[in-house]
Amino acid sequence: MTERGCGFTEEEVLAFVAGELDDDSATGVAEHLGGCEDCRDAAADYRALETTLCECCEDGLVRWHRFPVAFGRLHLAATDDGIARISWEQEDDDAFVRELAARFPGRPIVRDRDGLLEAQRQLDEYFAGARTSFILQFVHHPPSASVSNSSSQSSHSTVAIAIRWTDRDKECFANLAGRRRWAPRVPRRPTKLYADRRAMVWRVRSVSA
Amino acid sequence: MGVAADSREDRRIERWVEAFRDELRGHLVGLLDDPDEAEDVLQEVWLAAHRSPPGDVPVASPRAWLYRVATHAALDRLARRRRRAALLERRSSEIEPARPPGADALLDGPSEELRERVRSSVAALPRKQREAVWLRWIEGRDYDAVASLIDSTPEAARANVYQGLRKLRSELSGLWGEEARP
Repeated sequence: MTERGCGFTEEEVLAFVAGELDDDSATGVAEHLGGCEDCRDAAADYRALETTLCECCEDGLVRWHRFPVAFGRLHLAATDDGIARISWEQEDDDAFVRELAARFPGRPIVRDRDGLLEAQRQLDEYFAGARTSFILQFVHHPPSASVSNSSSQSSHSTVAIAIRWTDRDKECFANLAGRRRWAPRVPRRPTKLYADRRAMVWRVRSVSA
Repeated sequence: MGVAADSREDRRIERWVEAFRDELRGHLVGLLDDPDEAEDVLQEVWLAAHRSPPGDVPVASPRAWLYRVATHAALDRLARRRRRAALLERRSSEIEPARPPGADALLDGPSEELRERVRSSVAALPRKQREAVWLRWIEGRDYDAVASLIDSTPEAARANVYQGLRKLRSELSGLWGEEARP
């Protein structure tokens, strides 16, 4: 990283703000900030950025995760409202994320294994034959025009559904919140069984096929 | 922890207060250029020391710990000061005394317009940079965990975090001033 005129790099300033420096280096940067306006501005910007990212993105985040299943690998994506996309096509991560970006334009898309762990567990059980229904709430969520209609193409394995978090998901999030600096906002809505809502689910047969 | 242990902890912090007060005050005045604000931040640092779990406050290097806490608190003050300055500048240039759109957001939280802009900037980052920034900077995961999640090495994960943050800073550093403009 380019060294500034003062002899410190922006990377060092950033590492200080992130708490990644050892004691001696951190104290050196801290002392330097008192006398260098450029570095002080950079440090203040990064501190502000940390707060701003949390404040501005917590409602709009799209999380995704990829995990192996018996027939290949499965991509899963969710917003705070629930699961937004499940795909078991053999597409790569970039293609899956591009598809999400088309569906959720302008929203940050990040990989989050832990946040989707409970949904993964239920899907694993389903594919292993140990589960016949999900204790998750499905709601009607029309797909964007960019997603093919799989109800008329049985070979297509992408479905667009929304599953709202259950109490169990919330418990999972609560456990994570203890070690996270930011925890997802979980909507409080009544939980219904999958079967109760299957009539509302778009192309639900693709899920249970 | 028992009363005796609490008391020992208090005495340890009091010794630090005596040993480092003047030095830290000078450091904070240098950062903030305001002796009164520096004194406020100094009080915050002592409160933070008293509130911190014993394991968080190192016995071996209290000076380094105090410098870290004090500097971060001062940087937060500087960021808030910029927000206020941008707001006051906007208000002083208004002919109408009406509150500008988004003014409350400067002090109480970001406006929807600002949220959209930040989201767009984050969304526009390359995938690995975006994910690395989020996992490290917001969720506080270590670089090994970040690397595992983005299929990378810890060194590359760190580079992704830094490159992403530098881009975001470049995109958003004028953000508070713009927030206050019509």
